[in-house]
Amino acid sequence: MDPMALLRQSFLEECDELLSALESCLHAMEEGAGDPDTVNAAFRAIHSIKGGAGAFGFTELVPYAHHLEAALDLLRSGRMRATDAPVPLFLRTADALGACVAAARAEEAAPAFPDIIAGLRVLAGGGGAADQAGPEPETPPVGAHGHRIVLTPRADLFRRLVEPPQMLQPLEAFGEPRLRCDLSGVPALDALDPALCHLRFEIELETAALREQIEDVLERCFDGDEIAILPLGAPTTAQAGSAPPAPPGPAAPPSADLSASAQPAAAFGHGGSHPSAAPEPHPRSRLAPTRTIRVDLDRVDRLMNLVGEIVITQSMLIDRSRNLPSPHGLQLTEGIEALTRQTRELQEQVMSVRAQPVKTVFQRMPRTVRDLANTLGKEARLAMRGEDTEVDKTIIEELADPLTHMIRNALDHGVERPDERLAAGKPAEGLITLAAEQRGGRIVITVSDDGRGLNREKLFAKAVSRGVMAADAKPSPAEIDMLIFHAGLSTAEAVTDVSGRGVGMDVVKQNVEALGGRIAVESEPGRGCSFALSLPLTLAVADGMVVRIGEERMILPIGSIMETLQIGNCSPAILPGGGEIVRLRGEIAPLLRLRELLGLGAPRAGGGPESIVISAETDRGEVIGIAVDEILGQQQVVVKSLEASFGPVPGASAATILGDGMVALILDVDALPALAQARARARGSSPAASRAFTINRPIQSAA
Amino acid sequence: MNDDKNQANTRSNATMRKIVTFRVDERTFGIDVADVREIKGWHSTTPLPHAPEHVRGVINLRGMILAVYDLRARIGLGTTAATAAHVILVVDVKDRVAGLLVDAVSDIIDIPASAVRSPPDVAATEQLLAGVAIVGDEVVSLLALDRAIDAGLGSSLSPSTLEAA
Repeated sequence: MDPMALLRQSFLEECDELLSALESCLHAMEEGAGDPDTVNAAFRAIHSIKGGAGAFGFTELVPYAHHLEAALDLLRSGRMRATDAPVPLFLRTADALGACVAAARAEEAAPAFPDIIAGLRVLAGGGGAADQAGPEPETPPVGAHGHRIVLTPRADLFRRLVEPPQMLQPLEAFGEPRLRCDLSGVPALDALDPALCHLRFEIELETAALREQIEDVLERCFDGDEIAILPLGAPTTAQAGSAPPAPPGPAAPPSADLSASAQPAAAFGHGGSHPSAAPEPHPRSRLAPTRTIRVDLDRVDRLMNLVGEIVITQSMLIDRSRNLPSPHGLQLTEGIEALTRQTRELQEQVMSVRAQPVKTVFQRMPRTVRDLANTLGKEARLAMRGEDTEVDKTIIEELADPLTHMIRNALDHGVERPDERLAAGKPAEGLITLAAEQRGGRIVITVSDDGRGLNREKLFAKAVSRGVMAADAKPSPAEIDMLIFHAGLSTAEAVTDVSGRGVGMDVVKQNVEALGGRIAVESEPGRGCSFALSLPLTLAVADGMVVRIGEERMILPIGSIMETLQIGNCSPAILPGGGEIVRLRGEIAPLLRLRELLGLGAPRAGGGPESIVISAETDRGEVIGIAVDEILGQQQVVVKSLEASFGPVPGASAATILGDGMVALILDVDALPALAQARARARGSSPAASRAFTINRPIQSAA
Repeated sequence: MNDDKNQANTRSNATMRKIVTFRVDERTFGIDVADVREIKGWHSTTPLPHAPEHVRGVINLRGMILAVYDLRARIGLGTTAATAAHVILVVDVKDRVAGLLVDAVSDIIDIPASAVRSPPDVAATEQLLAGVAIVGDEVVSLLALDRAIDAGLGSSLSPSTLEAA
C-alpha cells in the first residue's frame, strides 16, 4: 500500500473518532449544554474532518463538513442562540458524514443527502453573515494569509523511510507551497553521513486553512520532528538572527529530490550550525508529543495470551517449589511470591490496555431513546452515569445489543405516555437511567426507568397459560418478576400492548450469560423497573477453587461458591428416588456428586472420599451442594475456550491449564442442576426426586 | 474440505501425494502430510464428561486446548492402552486442530494419486476412509480426517447420549 493510501486510511479511522466526539457534543447540546466548550469541541471535530477530507481528497465529505462548520460557527460567535440550534439537523449531518466515511472506506460512491445541505444552507443564510458556498470561503480566525512552516526533521529521517517531497505533497491541497531547503546544517563532504538528514525545510504556504489543519497533516508524516508553524509575514528567528549567513554547503544528494514546486534550494541565515540546535521560533508551535498510540488488537491479545502462559508457568513453579527441601524451598517460595504479585500486576496492566470505557456503547444510547421516543409519541430523557467505567473490549462489543434492547424495552413498556404520566402525578418526561460502576471484580450496569413497572398480573397469567407455573401457585412478587426472563413470556404482548420490537428479555439474558454475566430485575408497580447486569471485568482470567475428584482436578469459579463444609456437618439424606439432599445454612439443597455427574468412574459406596461439600449458588439463585474429594487450593486460572477446540461440554464452561501442564475443566455451576436432572431422568428415578433438583426454594417437607 | 482435496487429487493422475503412514493394531493408515501439524508423544489426557469412548479427552499443546481422539477406539477395536511409545498426530481438521492417538508413525511415502482407489464398501469402519492404496505388499487406508474426527462432538454429547450413558 502506498504511503498516501495508508494516510487516507488512517484519516478515515480518525473520522470515526471525530464523528463520535461530534455526536457526543451534539447530544450534550441537545440536553441543553450549549456552553462554549461544547460548541467549540464540536466545531473542532468537524473542522478536523473538513481539513483532512480536503487534504486527502475525500471531497464528498467537504460540503457537509463545511456547512456544519459554518452553522456551528454561528453558534460559536453568538450569532445564533444555543436554544435555536437545530440539533437534529446537525445530528443528521453527522450521520451523513458517517455514511460518506463508510462509503469511502468501502470505496463506493458516497450517498447524497441534498436536503441536509439545503437545510444547513438556509440556516447559514438566515443566520446572517455566514458564507454560502465554496470550498474555503470562510475567514479563518488565525493565519489570515498563510503560514510559514519550518520543518526540522530529526537526523534519522531517511532511516524512517520518509521521503520529504512525497510527504509534503498533502500540503498542496491547501495551496501552492513554496519550498526552500536550508542546507546550512550539512557538514563538509568528508564528514557527511549520507544516511542522515541534515536538511531543514522552510515552506511558505498561502492558504486560508488553519494552522491546526496543516499541523494535522504534517504530524502524520513527521512524527517526532520539529515543526513550527508561523503566520506568513512573521519574521522567523532565522531572519531575525544576528549571525551571518552560513556559507552554502555542498549540494547534498537529497536536495535533488525536491519536488517541482520547490524553489531552488537556498541557504538562509541560521543562528546555529546544527539543525536540532535551532531555537524554537514559537513556544507553542512545537507539537505536543502524542500521548496515545493505535495498537492492533491482535497484538494486545497476543500479549494477554503470553501473560496467561506466565500465570501457568508460575503456578508450575509454585508446585515444584513445594517439593524442595526447606532452606532452598523457602527462599524460592519468597521469590515466587514476589513474582506472583508482579504477574498479577502485569496482568492487570495488560487487561487495562484492553479495557475501554463503557462510554463507547453508552454514547449510542441517547440516540436510541430520542428516536424511539419520537416514534412512540413519548417523552423521555436518558441520564447516564459512570460512563468512564472500563471493561474488557470483547465485553464492550457484546454489550451494545443487550443494552439497546433493554433501553428500548424500558421506553416501550416501562415509560408511560405523557398524559398517563401526568395523571399518575409524574412529570410528563420519563427518565431512563443507564449507569455503570465497578464492584469488586465485576462491573454492574443498571438500566432503570421511572415508568409503570412490570405488570405482574399479566406475567403470572401468561406463565399459567403457558404451563410455566401452576394456577394455584403463590409465587412471591420477585419470583413473578423473574418470569420476564423466561422464554416466551418476555415478549411484548406479555407485559404491555405495545408491540413491534419483540426482543425477548430471555435473549438478553442469554447474551449476558454468554459473557459470564448475570442479570437481575427489580420492579415496583407504578414506580419503575430496574435491570442490573453484573459482568466479569475480563473473560481471560478468573479466580477459581481447585478441587479434586478421584484423579481429576477441576476448577469451581470462586464467584459462585458460598462456603465449604464437611459432608458430615450438613446431614446428607437420600430421597426415595435416589436423589440426595443436604442441609446448607438451614435450607435443603440438592447434593451433586461430581464423580457420578460427570461420569468420572463409578460412585463409591457410602460417599466415603467425597467428604467435602461446596455450597454454591447458581445464577437462578438455586443453592446446590457439590461433593468433591478434596480442596486443593485457590488460584487464578487462564480461561481457555473448549468450544473452539472441541465443542460444548456439558457441565464445563471452559478449561484451563494447571501448573503441571495438565488441563482442568472449569465447571459451569449454573448448568450443573440441569445436568443432574438429565442424569436423574436417565436413571429412571421418580419425577418427585428429580424435581428436588429444580426447586428454587427450600423444600420444607422433604427432611 | 479435506475430502475435496482428496477428490481433486484422485482426479489428477499425474500428481504424487505425500502421505504420512501410521499403524493402529496391525493396520496401516495414512493421511496427507499437509494435514499434519506435528507429531508428539503420548501425554495423559483430561477426560471430558460423558464423552464417547474414542474421545480420550483434552491436553495442553503449548497453551492451546487440544482434543485427542483414539483411532483404535474409533475403528471399534477398543480403547488404546496408551504408553509413552504411543503417538499423537496433531492434525488440521476443517477449521480445528485435533489430536489423533495412534500406535506408531511408520513413514512418509509418495503415492501416485492414480494408485488411490475408493474404499471397498464392506464395513462401517470403511466410512472413515477416503481411499485405499496398495504400496508394495501393504494396504494403506487413507483416513477421511473429517469423518474420523467427527465434528459431531456437540451432537455426540447431546442430552440423548447423556441420558443413555
